[in-house]
Amino acid sequence: MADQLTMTWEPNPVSIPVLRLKGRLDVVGANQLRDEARRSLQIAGELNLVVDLADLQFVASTGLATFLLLTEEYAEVGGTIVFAKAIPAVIQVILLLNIDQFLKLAQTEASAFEMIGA
Amino acid sequence: MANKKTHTKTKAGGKPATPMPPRRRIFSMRAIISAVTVSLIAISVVAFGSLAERNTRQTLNEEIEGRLILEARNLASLSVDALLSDYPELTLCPLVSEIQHDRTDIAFMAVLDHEDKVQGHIDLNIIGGGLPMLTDLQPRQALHTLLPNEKVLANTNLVVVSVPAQHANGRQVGTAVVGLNQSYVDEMVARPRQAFLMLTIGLLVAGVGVSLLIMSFLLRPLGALRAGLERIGRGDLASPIQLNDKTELGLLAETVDGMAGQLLKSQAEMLEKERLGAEMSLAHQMQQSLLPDGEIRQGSCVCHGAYAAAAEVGGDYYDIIERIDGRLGLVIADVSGKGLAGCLVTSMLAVLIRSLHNRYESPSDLLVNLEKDLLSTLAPGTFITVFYGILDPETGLLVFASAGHCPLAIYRANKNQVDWTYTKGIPVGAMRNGALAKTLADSTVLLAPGDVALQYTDGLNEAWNAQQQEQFEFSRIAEYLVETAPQGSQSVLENLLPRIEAWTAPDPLGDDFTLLAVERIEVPSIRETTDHIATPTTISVLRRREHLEEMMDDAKRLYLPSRMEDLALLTDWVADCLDGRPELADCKDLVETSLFEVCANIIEHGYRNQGGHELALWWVPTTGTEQEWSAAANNEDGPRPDGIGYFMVCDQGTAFKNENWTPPDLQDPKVRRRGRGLGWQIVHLSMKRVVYTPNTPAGNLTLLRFDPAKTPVR
Repeated sequence: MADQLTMTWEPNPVSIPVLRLKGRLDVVGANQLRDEARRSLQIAGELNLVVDLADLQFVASTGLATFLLLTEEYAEVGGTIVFAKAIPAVIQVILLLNIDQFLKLAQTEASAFEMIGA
Repeated sequence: MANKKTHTKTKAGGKPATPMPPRRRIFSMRAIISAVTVSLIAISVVAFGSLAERNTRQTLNEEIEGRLILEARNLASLSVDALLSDYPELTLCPLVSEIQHDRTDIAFMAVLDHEDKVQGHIDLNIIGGGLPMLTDLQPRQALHTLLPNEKVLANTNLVVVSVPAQHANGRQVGTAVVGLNQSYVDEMVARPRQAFLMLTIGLLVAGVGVSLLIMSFLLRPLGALRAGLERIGRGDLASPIQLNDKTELGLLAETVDGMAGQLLKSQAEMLEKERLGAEMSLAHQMQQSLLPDGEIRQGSCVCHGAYAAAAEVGGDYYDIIERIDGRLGLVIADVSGKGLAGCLVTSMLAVLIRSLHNRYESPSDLLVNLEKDLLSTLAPGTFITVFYGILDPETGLLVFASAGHCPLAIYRANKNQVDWTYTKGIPVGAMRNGALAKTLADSTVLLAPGDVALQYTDGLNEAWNAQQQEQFEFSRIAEYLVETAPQGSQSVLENLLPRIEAWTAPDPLGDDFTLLAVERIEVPSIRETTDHIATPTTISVLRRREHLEEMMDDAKRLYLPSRMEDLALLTDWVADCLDGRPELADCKDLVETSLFEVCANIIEHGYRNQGGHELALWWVPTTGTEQEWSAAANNEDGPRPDGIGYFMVCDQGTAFKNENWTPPDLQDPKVRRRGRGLGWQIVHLSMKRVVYTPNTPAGNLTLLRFDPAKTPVR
C-alpha cells in the first residue's frame, strides 16, 4: 500500500521555500497542503513557493483542486507557486484535465527557481 | 313597460354626489318636557278647580238655603198678626216690599193665607189669587234641618222655601214663601271661577316659559355630548368630550370618555395581540424549521424525532446532527420558559450546538462550553435541561451527558424490558458558578440490534390525568416501550401522541413534549445484498441480473472498506486487473485515479464519510482476447479491440443525483478556486462510458467502460 502524504520543507541555496510532498495526495493530504502553503504565505510572509512533487505517487482531484486554489491565492498577492518534478502519473492527470495552462509546472527545481525569478 | 330613468346629481367635477341619508325626525326634549309639564299642571289645576267649584257650589247652596229659611221664618213670624186681621194685604204688601227692596238675590217673596191665597206680594195684581211660581216646583232634600211643615222646593230655575205662619196657639194661619233664582248661585260660582281660570292661564304660561328656560340650560351640554359621540363613532377615541357639567349629563360624558379610553386601550391591546400572534406564528415556523425532517438512517441505526405542541410555541428542541467523523450528535432540550422567549433561547441553543458539535469528543465538555456561551444571553432564572449524545451508528455505541434532563429509557430486545439510565448533571444555567462541570459525566450505553433508546422532555412523563389525579410517570413509559418497541422506533413515536392524548383526555395537553428515538437494526452485509441479485422480481431487474451475471463470470472482485485511506488498495488491484496487458501500462494510473474518484465520491456522499461499509468492485474484460491485444500491441497501426472491459462499483449508500453534472468551466477563476467537479471530469475523460444506476436491488451501480483509445495521454 502506498504511503499517506508527508510534507517536508527542503533547504535550498536560494531563499525560496521548497515543500516536498511524498505519498498520496487525496482529501486529507490536500487539506494539509493547503494549510501548510497558506501558513507559508500568510504567516511566514513568503510570497513564493516551490512544491516538489518528485515523490508524490498519486494525486486525486481534491489535490489538483488544491493546486489550482493555491495558484490563485498566491497570484492574488503577487506571489508565485511552482509545482516541480511531477512524475508521469501526476502529469498525466494534469494534462487530462487540461489544467496545465493554469499551473506553473517545472521539470527541475532549478527551472522552478528560474520561473520565480530567483 | 316604460323605461324608468334614474338621475344622479353630480358635482362640478362630474363625480356623483354622495346620497344624503334620509333625515330622521327629531323630537325636542325641551318641547316634550314643557308640554308634559304644562299638561300635568293643566290637568291638576282643572281637577283641583272642579273640585273646588263643586265644594263652593255646595257651600253656597247651603248658605243660600239657610238664608232663605231664615228669610221665610222671619216673614212668617211678621205676617201672623196681619193674617188674623181683616185686611191683611194692607199690612203684608208693604212689609214684603220693604223686605224685598234692594234684594236682587231674592226672586220673590210672598205671604199666603190659610187658603193659599196671596196676601202679601210686591205685585199687587196677584193679591187674593194663587201664587203662580209654585206650579212646577218639586220638593227637594233640604240641606238644613227644617221645622214641621217647612219645605224646600226647587226646579231648574228656582229654589223656594215655604215656612208656615203659626199663631201662638199653634194654629197655622198662613204660609211665608221666599224664592231665589238658581242663576244667582251660578253667578256667584262663575265669578271666582273666571278669576281662577285667569290665574291658571297665567301660571301655565309662566310655567312653560320657566320650564323651557330650565330645560335649555340643563340640556345645553347635549350638543357637545353628541359631537363627542360622533367623533367616537368616526374612530377618534383619543379626543375626550371634556364636558364641564355638574348634572347627570356631565357624569354621562365622563362615562363616555372612560368608555372611549377603554376602547382605545382595548384597540391597542387587540393590535398588540394580533402583532404578537403573527410573531408567535413566525416563531412557530422558525422552531419547526429547526427540527430535522423524517428519519435519519445511518449504518445500523435509525433515528426519529417528534414534537407535540401544547401551546403555539414551546421551549422544546431536538436535533440529529451528522458529525464530521461519521457519528451522529443527538440532542434534546427543554427551556424553562415557554412562548417567544423560550423559542428564542431554543434557536440560540440550536445554533450553538451546531457550531460546537464537531469540536468536542466528550458530550460533557460540549455541554459545559455550551453553558459558557449561553450564560451571557440567558436571562436570570432561565435554565435548560439538555441531553447530548454521540452515537456511533455502526456499532450502536452511545456516549452521552445529561444536564438535568429526564433519564434515558432503553428498551432491551433480548430481555424485553426497559433499562433506565439516571445521571446527576444539573441543568444548563441553573447554577452559574461552574457547578455544571462538577456534576456532569459522560455515560456510555451500547445498543444491540433490536434495542430502542427513547429520550424525551418532561411533558411526557408529567402528562396529567385529571380524573385519576396522576401523571403518566416513567412506569407507563416503560410499559409503553415494551408494548411498541418490538415493532420499531417508528411505531414508538407514531403511537405515543395518541396514547398521551387519551391519557390527558378530556383535557388537552398541558405541556408540549418532544421525543427522540434511536433504534439499532440489523444491516445485511454487502455480500448478502449482492446475493439478492439471484432472486430478482421484476423484468428490469432480471435484465440487470443477466447483464451482471454475464459480467461477473470472469470478474475480478475487490471489496473495499468505506474509508478514504483504504482507497490506496486500488493501486495493486488495478495493476492486477490489467496484468498481462503491457500496452495498457500507461493507462493504469488514469484507471486507478478514475476508480479512486468514483469510490471517494461514494464514500463522501453515499456513506457520508462513515466507515463500516463496503464497496464492491468488479473488473470485467468483455471484448478483446489476450491474443488480440497482444497483436494490437505489436502493431500500433493495426485494428484495436473495441474497449477492453468494464469496471463496476456497487455500494449500499445513499443514492445521489449526478445526471445534472456538467464539466466545470475552469476558465472561470471562481470555478478554479472552488475546484469542484474535477473528480467526475477525470472519470468522464478517462472512460468511454459512465453509467450510474442508483437504487437497484444490488445497491447503487456505477458502470465504467474503459477504452484506452479514448484516453488522451499526452
